[in-house]
Amino acid sequence: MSKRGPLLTMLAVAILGLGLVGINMTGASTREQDTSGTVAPLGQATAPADPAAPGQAAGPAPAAAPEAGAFPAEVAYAGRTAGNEATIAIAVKDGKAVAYLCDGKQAEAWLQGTATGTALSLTGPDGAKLDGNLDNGAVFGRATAKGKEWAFSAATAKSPAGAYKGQVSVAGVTKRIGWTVLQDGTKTGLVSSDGRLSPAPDLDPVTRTATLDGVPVQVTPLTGGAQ
Amino acid sequence: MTGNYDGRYEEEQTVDISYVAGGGTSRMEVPPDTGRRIFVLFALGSLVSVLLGVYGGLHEPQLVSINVAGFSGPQAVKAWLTTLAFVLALVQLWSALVMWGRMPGMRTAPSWIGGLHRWSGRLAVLATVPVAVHCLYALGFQHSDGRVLAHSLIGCLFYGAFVVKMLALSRPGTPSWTLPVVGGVVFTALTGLWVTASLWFFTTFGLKF
Repeated sequence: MSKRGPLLTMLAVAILGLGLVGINMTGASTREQDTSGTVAPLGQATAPADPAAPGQAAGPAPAAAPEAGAFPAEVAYAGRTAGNEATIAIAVKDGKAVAYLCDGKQAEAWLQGTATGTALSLTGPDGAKLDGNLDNGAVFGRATAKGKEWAFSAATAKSPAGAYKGQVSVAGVTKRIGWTVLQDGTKTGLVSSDGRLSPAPDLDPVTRTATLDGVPVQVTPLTGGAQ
Repeated sequence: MTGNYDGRYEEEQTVDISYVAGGGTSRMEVPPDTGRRIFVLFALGSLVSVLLGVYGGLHEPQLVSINVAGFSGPQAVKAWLTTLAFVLALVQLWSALVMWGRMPGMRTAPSWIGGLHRWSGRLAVLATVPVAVHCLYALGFQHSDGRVLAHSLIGCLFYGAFVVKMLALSRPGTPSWTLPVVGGVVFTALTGLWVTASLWFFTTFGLKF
């Protein structure tokens, strides 16, 4: 007893800890599945991309295949939804794609996925989804976030246009900030903290600096390779 | 203390004797592989600390995690659970002093003191687990300011030291200083965690539930 007691204590701690992490993780994935299941299939253009998605681990080789009008190795797009409800910035690198969708008020989504041939297929938490097709240097497609679906277009963007992610700890509370910067300089952003959204502070995309409640924000541009 | 060679020798002996007296066990033969054994314990503890830190650093902070109902927010839950653990840790310190015959006025340890020490320790560390899971899963290892960096580092140290303590308890033959030193580290780390989180929370936001 005296020898096994401490080991059992450690076991109890490990089980409790892993159990809580497990609940967190299954909670996160079922939330994702539930909502994505209710979303109707989007643009037909994504059909060829879907089988490729599970093979993501196979590496960037398929995306690098020379195909007329395919995605360049590294490129960024920025644009808006058709009714100007939200802004979207997409970054592609070696077949991997990340995107940030933000309406600056109540909807945002961080998405990641693949760019195969001319097709973009990205997903994010809470059923967020973005599918698009590259045509003549611009991406056209449909995006879903917070249960709404929009058509969007995004043209090739040059720095400082693109998506930016910030992280800051204000009074001990960690907040994540996302911004889209369009080619015309329009900035749209939101602060996310414990599931709540609030307006984002101004971002200087050139120096990549911003402050929230007087605290400097760590700002990183979103690139296709980054998570 | 005097820097005198003989004096130092005596002091070492004193420590040894007190271990025998406080432990209440007969002097054991020190196995030849004590050094290796203690190295393995500390290596495993360090591994746990480093793994927690690496997980906290690599894992994308989710900003949300499951929590205990009935409080104003996850921060309040964490502050109070940590406070519970800290109070139990004070019980730990006291009962350890009694067990080792270092509590003035309590030279002989009562029979229930071992049980009190074990169970207060178990409850204390279990109370920290939901807090740590929230810290690691929702927030991750952070270094945005001194308090947060210290808290992240101490949090990793705490579980590493806890593992060393449990392993040291479960196998005989570790040097006499192992339990007091490692127990002291566990207690100090928990105190540090309480100061950098709960105390900070209560002084910043007030005593709220």
